[in-house]
Amino acid sequence: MRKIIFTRPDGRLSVVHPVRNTLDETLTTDAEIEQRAWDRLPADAMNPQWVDASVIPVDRTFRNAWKAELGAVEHDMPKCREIWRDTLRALRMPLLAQLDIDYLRADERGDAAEKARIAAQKQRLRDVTADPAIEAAQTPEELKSVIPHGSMSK
Amino acid sequence: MRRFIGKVSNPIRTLVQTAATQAEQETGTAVDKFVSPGRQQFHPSAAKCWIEFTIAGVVNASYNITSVDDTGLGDWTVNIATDMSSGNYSAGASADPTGVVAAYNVTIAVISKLAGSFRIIGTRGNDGTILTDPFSGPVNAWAFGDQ
Repeated sequence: MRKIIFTRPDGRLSVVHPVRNTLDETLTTDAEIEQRAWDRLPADAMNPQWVDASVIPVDRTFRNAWKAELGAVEHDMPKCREIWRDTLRALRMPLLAQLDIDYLRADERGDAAEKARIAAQKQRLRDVTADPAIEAAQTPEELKSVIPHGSMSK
Repeated sequence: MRRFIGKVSNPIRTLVQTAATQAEQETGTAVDKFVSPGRQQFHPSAAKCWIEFTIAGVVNASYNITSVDDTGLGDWTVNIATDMSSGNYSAGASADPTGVVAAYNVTIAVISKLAGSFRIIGTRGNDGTILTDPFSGPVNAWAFGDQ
């Protein structure tokens, strides 16, 4: 069955999945079911269009960056980059918390070398969102490969 | 063919009962009508619609639904086939949070309702922000009230 895509007033892309009810369905053909879904689009739906189910990305990593483009669903790369930065921030959060603990313990031991190592690692974690590879990435796949593994560790 | 010959101690009584109308089902007080399968759903205690769908909006099972709008991670609108009579009804939703980042947990809630649709939002259980990471679902939703 085909899907409907449309843009909401806030700029987000909605993908409408017409439903053939598994219980007490009153319609018989796919065309009728698709039309019923079309008839229920919100009044403020912008640029609604039918698309084949195959154009809907399976990978939802950057779902909130989807946009409609000539009968297809494309990725808004500036939004993708922000999503990826948020992902990296979430990944580094527990690492920074652990490093804070490690730093305190090193301080209690008077281990200046370890404190310097931890401080440097914390700075690397803070810098991951500024990695030039994020801005250089031109596709979602390229962006997903930008995980500075050396930095995202203790 | 065998025939019954004997004394009938009790006279045969003819019992005439009729099916409850939609209005009688909605009122829900008649005790001298029977409930027919085609009108059972009009009783106040019956679910008026229900659905199970994946986070991508693929429907596994449903009743009285026209479509599901996938509007973002943790943001769906369920559209009802035969509308409710107003936006004053009870709708709920739940989800299997398998796959969501463990530290977040996930909360699924109905945040707005119209006669013909209701919106479901998934939020992180720890800080209430909208989900930004996919989880496996599925999502369940239902509604009770007057049509």
